[in-house]
Amino acid sequence: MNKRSARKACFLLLSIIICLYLTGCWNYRGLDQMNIVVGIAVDFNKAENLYDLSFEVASLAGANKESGIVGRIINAQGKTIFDAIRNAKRKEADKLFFGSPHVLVINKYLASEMGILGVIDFFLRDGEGRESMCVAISQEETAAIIIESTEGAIEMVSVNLHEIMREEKNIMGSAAQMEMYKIFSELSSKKRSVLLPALRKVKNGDSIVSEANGSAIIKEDKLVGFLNPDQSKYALMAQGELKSSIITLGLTHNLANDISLEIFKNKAKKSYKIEDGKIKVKIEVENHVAVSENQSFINLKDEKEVEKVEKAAEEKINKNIQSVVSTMQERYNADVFGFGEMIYKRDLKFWEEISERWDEIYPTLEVEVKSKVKIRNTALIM
Amino acid sequence: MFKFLSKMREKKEREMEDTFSKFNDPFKEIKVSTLLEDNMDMCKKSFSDMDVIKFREIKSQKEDSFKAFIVFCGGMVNTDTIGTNIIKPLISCNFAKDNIDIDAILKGTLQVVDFSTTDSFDKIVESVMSGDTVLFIEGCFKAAVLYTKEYSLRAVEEPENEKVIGGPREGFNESLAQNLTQVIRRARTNELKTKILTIGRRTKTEVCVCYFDSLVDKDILKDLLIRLNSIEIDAILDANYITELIGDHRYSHFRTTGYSERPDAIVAKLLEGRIAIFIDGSPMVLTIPYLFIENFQSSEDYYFNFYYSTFARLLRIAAFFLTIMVPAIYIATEAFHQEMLPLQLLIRMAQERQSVPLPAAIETVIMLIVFDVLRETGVRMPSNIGQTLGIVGALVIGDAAVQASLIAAPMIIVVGVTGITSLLVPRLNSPIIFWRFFLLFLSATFGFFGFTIGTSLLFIHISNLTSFGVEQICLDANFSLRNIKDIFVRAPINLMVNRPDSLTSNATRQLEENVNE
Amino acid sequence: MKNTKKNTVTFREGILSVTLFAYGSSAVMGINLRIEQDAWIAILAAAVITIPFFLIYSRIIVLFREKNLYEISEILLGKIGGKIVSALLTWYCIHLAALVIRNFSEFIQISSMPETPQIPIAIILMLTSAYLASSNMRSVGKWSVVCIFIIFFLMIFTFAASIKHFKIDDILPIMEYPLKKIVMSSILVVSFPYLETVVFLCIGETLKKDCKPHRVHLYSLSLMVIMFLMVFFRNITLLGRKMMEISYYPSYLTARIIEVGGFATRMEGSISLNFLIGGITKIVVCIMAAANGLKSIFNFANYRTMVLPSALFALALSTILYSNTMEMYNFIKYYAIYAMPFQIVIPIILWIAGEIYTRKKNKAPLN
Repeated sequence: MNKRSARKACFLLLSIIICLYLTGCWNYRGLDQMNIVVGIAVDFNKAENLYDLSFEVASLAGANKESGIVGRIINAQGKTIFDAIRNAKRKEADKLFFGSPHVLVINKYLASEMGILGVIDFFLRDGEGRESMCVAISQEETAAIIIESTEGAIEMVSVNLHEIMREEKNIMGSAAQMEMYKIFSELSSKKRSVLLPALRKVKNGDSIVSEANGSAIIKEDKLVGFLNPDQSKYALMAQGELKSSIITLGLTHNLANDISLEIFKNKAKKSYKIEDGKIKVKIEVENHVAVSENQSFINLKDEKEVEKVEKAAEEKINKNIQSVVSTMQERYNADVFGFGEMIYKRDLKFWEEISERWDEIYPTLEVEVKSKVKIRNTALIM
Repeated sequence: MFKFLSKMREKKEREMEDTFSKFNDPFKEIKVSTLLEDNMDMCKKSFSDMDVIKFREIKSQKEDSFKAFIVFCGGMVNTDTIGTNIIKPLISCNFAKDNIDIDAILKGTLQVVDFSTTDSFDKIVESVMSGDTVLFIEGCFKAAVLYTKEYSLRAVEEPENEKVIGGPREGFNESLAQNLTQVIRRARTNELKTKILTIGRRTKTEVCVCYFDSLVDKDILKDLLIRLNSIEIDAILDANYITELIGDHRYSHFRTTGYSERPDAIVAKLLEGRIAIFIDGSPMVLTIPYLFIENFQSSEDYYFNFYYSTFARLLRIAAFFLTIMVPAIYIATEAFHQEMLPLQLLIRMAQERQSVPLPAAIETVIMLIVFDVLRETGVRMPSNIGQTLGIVGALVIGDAAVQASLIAAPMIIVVGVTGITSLLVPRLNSPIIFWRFFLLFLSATFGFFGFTIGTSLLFIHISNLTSFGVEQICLDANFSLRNIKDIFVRAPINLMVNRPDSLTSNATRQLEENVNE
Repeated sequence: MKNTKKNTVTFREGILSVTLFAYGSSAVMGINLRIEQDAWIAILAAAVITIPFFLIYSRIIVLFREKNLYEISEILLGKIGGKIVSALLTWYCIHLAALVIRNFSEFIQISSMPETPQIPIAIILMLTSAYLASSNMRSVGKWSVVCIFIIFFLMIFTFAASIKHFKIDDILPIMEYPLKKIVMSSILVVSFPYLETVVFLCIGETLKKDCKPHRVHLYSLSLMVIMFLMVFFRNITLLGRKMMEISYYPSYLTARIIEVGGFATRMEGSISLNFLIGGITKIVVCIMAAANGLKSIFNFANYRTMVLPSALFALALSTILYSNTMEMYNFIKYYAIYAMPFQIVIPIILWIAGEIYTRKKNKAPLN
């Protein structure tokens, strides 16, 4: 080997060594070096003016391959949310990984006094965070308690809660699950209020578990009140967002309801007109249902009987939606149905006139609910 | 300094040329003499210290007849032919000493199939070394070169590297003549041209350029002949020497010439307007120009139903991408974009990785090299200890390493997929090795961004490739229906009306009527 | 079909490379015009404004086949004038390349690799582009075909995910913003990205002789419009208008929230690669144009020798362009004014001079 090729080889070797040093740093972060965060709970400690965050992370050490993976809780305090997240690092060797958190539970006092947009800002801004995580409000004293796992649990609480909230929308419709980016978009638009799922702890057999319990009403990013599961079902129905649910009717005896109708398809249409300077809103709801329980054996072969059931259901829906709407108008003054947005979209000029006074106008809106129920079938038997 | 270096190089080149000329010089100028003794001396001198060379003096039975002698290389000639067809007639013939006509002897007396005459010793040496017998006759200023070649060859067997389930089983062997025979047997037309050149200063290897006169693109042919004639090397031992010397991109890891050991494949290529290069002593026959898609084509594609062939071809294309990309994608997701994994998978993988000592990128590199070591060993190893290799590979490296938490289990899957898929496209083995590690390196540094950059570089490189001026991929043409028929799919044979039109001067393969039937 | 020796692209490749070029950085920056749901009007209006300019560009190509803008300006404006115009255009090309490099390194740093410094990202981006630029135009053509297929696939894939959520309500009310603001926005779209295709004129000799340049331009304009509208509708449906409004990279954000079948989520890592290949195309074309410019200014025989220098220049420029991301976004507002001379003034001058020149030339033999 002559001098020249030796020099060349040295140069090559050096550049390879330098390249080796360049790799492996920067953003390279192996899976073994992180705590996978699946749920976040945000509380606020008023005494010390500190955010109090709890993270549920997948606990990898104890679990073997056969059993399920349980979570464990990491607590951290900080002056801001990000500060708290960084402070959590002090207790843990591995960095928290925010690539797949499923739920963000917010303390109810925090939500009603400071608002939720400030909390979700960090997660929207962060490149790692997940915009599609579900935001929920805790009905308990703290948010942390919601994601705390009970003894003997075989699954992570947050993953479970996420499933529950998702399924709730599809099966019961009693809680309005909403992704974080949607909350931001909705709350920023015209005087809109939104419903978020509310969570609480209940006793279930021997253990105490977390449960979805209706919705929380968020007006201009602050919590103003809660709806029970039944009310939130009708609130969702009025917006046509129900995937599936059940309506029960008591037609023959009053001890218990004797007919269950399963909703398959839910459509809703909002419209408005101006009469004598007053805005009249009309909500038309259409439900396609099937009879899934008929305890008193009403003769459903008879068209008249079917019509009777339909009428009864319609009346019940009308009454309930009406009551939810008036609660929203009078008690909370929260425009969860997007009436304001509707006017803005249809008639921009008119909206610009009234938008200043919308908070005063909204409670006085005349809302007419008209619902239609169509029985599709009666399942396997008559 | 550069001037100095180039001067050094020039000097070296001159020296090398001198040695070559010294080697050639002694015989170049010397002609055959009329005196038999002079010729004999000259032969003895030229073949000094070469004990395989045999001399046989011949004297006719008749008094006063001429004297002669023959020179041949023992072991490369058919001794029966020499005895009965050369020596015997010469001994019994009765030409007068002073009335010798070498042409008459060759035509009338000797019973050999092919002969020629020469007066240059250079040519004589070459002929003897290639198995011919040279005859010197007293009083003639020319020597006769008689065809007596015979040497043992490998029989015609099925090629190991291109095994097929359907279709012909014959393969080429190391003899140029026999290889040409196999091709000509399959294409019995005088349109098939064979031009023989001799390349290699020391080996004097015969190289045959073979093509269909009516189909070949004359520009490409001219280009090829220029490139072949400009080769300056002392030895051609295998087809790959030619490949590397005439390719468009000498330093690319992609092939710019095709190769096959199967006569049926070569004939098919010739019929697409390509040119085949046969090299004496190598069972590999080269074809040019080479299109990128040929990496994924197999002659078997045409011997099976086209649905299956299409599937197999798509599988090979997918395998190429899988084998270079899977490790890189694994690293990019594992170390940079963990959020892409569904939670359950993420947690499982994290669990696997908890107790593993090395970072995933290093682990991947090690395991890929281990796989290649196993593969390379399998190729070079006597086949009767093959089982041992399987046990070492599967149990020791696979199972035991995972059990001992030295290697994460997903790694084994990644390496397995990578390794197995690479075997599907043997023609691309060198680019696969290079690009796999290159992409891995970029992925380990920049995640998916690096992966995208690497893939882009790969594509740019491929789209820059040409073979004898023909682009290896031509996408605009490939997406027209006319040309797609033999690219990603293998269309039914009656529908393949045209040849690939970047290769040939005559694009129509068969008449359109076949399609309509 | 043998296209091997000539350094030209076919008709189809021409359309696709122009489209890809325009799609380039708009893909990642998004058509973010700060007019929420009225953006689609601006996109369409911009296309209408662009048509006459595209016809002028095509006319220049027709008048001087196989010549690039630099050579044309030397013919028309003399040696000194030509060189000045060439220098200006070269600056524009290099600056544009630098802008795109910066956009992308910024995007990659913010979106996925916050700890990685921007310079290595920019370096490998630049090296890749320089490699493609120093290959020939044929390779750029092939590159465009493949990339546009990938981009279209991903676009349709993501668009399909949004289509079931789309409601007409999403783009109501129409014309919420005053006409003046919408027009201003559409001028922004005209200058970035539609008229940036002036860079293609600086390469010259790119299109096969039998292709009509105005058809290439108009076809690709309509493709661009379709792509941008698809991007806009997808983003507004999935993100909502406010979210689209405040995000720097709305398309990227959309990719993050798309879910397929409940298990394939967070695919932005792979989807964002389609932004990247568009960006590379843009950098490549700019670098090729700049190298051609340097070639004619300094009278080199081959533009390839100038590819690496201009790429390095663009790289260096990209690092000092802005001090932070916000500044980058603010610059877009002034971009239309800055780009006016290069996109409109110079081509129009050359076009008028070219018309006069060819008239004269055609008359000359008669006399």
